[in-house]
Amino acid sequence: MGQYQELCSLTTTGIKPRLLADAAQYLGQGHDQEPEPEPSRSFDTALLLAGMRDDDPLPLLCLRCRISHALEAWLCATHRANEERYGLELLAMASYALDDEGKLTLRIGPDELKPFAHTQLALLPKGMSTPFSAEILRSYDSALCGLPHWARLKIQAHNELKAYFRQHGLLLISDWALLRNSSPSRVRQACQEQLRTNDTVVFLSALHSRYGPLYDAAKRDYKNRTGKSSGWQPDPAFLRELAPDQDPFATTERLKAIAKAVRLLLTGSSNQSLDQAAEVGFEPVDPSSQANSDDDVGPSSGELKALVSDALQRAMDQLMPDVLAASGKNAELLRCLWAGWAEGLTNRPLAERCGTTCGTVSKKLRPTEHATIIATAAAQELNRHQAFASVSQSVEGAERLVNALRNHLLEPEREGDVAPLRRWIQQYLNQP
Amino acid sequence: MNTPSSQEPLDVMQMPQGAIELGELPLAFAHEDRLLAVAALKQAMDERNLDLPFGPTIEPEDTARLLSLNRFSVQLATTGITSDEVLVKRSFWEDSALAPQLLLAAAVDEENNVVFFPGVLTGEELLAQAKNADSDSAALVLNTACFKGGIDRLLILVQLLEPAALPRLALPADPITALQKTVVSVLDWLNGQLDESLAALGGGLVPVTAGATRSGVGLPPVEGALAMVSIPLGLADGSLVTGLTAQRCLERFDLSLIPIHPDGLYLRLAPALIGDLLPDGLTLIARQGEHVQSITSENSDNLDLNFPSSSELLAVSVAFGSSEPIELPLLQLPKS
Repeated sequence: MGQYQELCSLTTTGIKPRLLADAAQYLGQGHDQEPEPEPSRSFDTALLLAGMRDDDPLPLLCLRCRISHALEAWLCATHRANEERYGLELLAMASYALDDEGKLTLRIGPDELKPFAHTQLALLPKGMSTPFSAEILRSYDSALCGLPHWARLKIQAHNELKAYFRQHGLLLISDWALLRNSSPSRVRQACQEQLRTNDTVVFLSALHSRYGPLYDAAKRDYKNRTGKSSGWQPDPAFLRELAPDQDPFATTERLKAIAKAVRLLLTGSSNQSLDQAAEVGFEPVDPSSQANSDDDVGPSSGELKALVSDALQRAMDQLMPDVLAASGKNAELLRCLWAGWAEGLTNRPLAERCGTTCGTVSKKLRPTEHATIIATAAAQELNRHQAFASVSQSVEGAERLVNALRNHLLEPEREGDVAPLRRWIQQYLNQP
Repeated sequence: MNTPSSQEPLDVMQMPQGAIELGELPLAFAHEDRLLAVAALKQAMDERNLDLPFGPTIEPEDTARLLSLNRFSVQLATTGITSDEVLVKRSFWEDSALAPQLLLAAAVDEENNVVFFPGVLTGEELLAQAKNADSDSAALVLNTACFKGGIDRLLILVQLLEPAALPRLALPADPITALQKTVVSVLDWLNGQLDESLAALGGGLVPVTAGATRSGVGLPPVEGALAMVSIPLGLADGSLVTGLTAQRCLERFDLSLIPIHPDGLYLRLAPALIGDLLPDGLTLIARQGEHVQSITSENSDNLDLNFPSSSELLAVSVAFGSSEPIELPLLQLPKS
C-alpha cells in the first residue's frame, strides 16, 4: 500500500491508514501487486491534471490520500514534541484535519451531494470547507509549491486548530508571519547555523529583506478584501514581484527553507530555556526593610512589619475573592487548582489531581501575577505612610518594594511555615 | 562549520507567559496591530480591576499619538509576537518638553489575536539602550530582550510613582543632521574610505564592476567609474527615508555617487529592484556653486546627473513632494 491509495483517517482506536479500493483500482494496483508510484511532485501534478481534464473524482481521491499522509505526519510530529509539556491529544488535533472519509461525493447542502471532482471544488466558497482536504485541493496551485507543503501551509491557518493550541498555551505561527517578524540578523544566524543549501546566506538574506515590505502591503490588501487577519497565502504575482528573475516555485522553496531554519533556531533556544527553567529564585527580602531607615523617628521594625502585614491582608481580602470566584464549568477546576496550589503542589501533580494539562494549570492559576497585583495594591497603601514616602520618588524604590511584597506573599518566612497567600487561600476555601 | 539542529522545526510555539488572549473584537481591529495592543492593555487593566485614566479615546490607532495612562505619557511600539526587534520612532524623543516618560513594547500576533508585552523602558533606560542600538533618522532598532517586567512593570510604575519621578528626556540630536554640515572628500573613496556622514545614511562603498554601475535592465554602465558609493533610499508613508528604514520600504531606490575618470562625479538615482520604475515626482538636485542641475522622474527607470571637478563644493539632495528632502553632506570633488 502507498500514499496514493491509503487514506489516513481518524478511528476510535487512533489514526489508521486504510486502503481505498477505488484509489487502488484507479492506479491500476488491482491484484497485480505492482508497486505504487513513488510520491512525487510530477505524479501529483499528473493526477491533478487528470482530475481537471476528466472531472473525475478518482484522481482527486488519490491526492486526498496523499494529503492525509502529509497531515498525519505533521500532526504526529507536533503532538510528539508537545504532548508531555502541554498535554496535547493527538486525536483531538486530528479531528480538525483528518476528517476525510474517502467518499467520492461532497456534501454541499443538508440533502445535496455532488461528485468530489474538480468542477465542484472550484464552486466551493473560499474558506474552510469540509472535509479539510477539499479546501486544500480547492486552493492548490501547483506552480507555487508541492502538495504536501501546501497542506502544511493550510493547516497553519486552520482557525479551530489554532484555538485548540491556544487553549493549551501554544501559538500556531504561519511561515509568512514568522518570516515577517524575523530580523535580518536572526535570518542570517538561522541560515548560517541551520541551513544546508546551494543558496548563499547573502542571497537568502537579500530575498528576506525584500519580503517584509511586500508582505505588509499584500497583507493590508488581504485584510481590506476579506476582513480577516489570518489565512493569507502568497500568490504567483507576489512571488514574482519578490523575485522577478526566479521561478515562483523556487522562491516558495527558498522562503520555506528560511522559515524552517528560523524555526530550528527558535526551537533550539526555546527548549534550552524550558529545560533550564527553575524556580524564580525569590530573595527572601523583608518588605518592611524597604521603608525609609530613620532610627530617630518613624515606626519601629515591629510596627513596620505590622503595617506591611495589614496592607497585604487587606489587599488579599479585596482582590482574591474575585480571582477564586468562577462560575460555570470552570468553577470546579479553578477551586481544585487553587486548593492544590495552596497545599504546595507544583504544576504536574496539580494537573494530575485536577484532571487537566500543565498548560491549563499555567494559564488558569498564575499565582505570581496575582501576587504582583496584591503587592502593588499593598504598596499603594503603604505609599501613603511616611515611612514609605520615598517609594513614589524612584523607579528602583517602587520596584524593590513590590518585589519584596510579592516574594513575601509567595515564600514562607521560615522553613516549615506556610506562605501568606497560600494560607489565605486555604482559609478562604475552608470557609463554610 | 555549524551543525544543523537535529530537532524538528515546530510550527507551534509556546505562548509567552503573561500573553493576553483577546476576545471577539470589532472588524476594524483586525487591521491594526496598535489597536490590538491598546485593546490588550485595557483588558489587562480590566482583569486587574484597575480603573486608571487612559487615553486617547479618539483615534488610539494613530501611531503619531502618545498614550496617556494615569497621568504618565507612554509611547507604544508594536512588533510581531515572534520578533526579536522593535522599531521605536525617534520623533517623539526629539524634544525633552514633549518626550514620553515610558516606552511600552507590544508583541502582537494578529493571526491568533494574542498580545504579549515584553516590558517597559523609562526615558533614562531608553537613552542608555539607544547608545548601542542600530538607528537612522526615523527610528531606533531595539532588541525585544531589553524590555523587562511585562505589563506588570508598567502598571506598577504608573500606580506607585509620582509623574515627576520619571523625567522627560530627549535623545541626542540626530547624528545625520549634525554630520551633514561636514565636507566629504570624494578622493577618500578611491582609497576605500567612507566618511561617517555617508555611512550614517546607510551608504556603503560598492566594488566597481560593469554590473555594479548598471543598475536596472537596459541602463548603460558608467564608463570610467573609479569608485561607487551607494545610499539606500525609500518612501515610507510618502516621506523619504534612508538606511535601515529604507530597506524596509516597498518603494526602494539607490542613489549612486560615482567618481569617474579622468574627473568629475556621476550621480545616478535608480530603483533597487531590476525592472522597477522610480516613483513619479522624485527629484534629484545638485548645486555646484552657481551651477544647478535638477531632474524629476516621470515613468523613469533612472535619473542621472554629471558634474565636473571643481573647487566648488557639490550639494546633492533628493526631494519628493512635500516631504523633507534628503540632503547629503557637501562633497569635495578633486580639482581638475
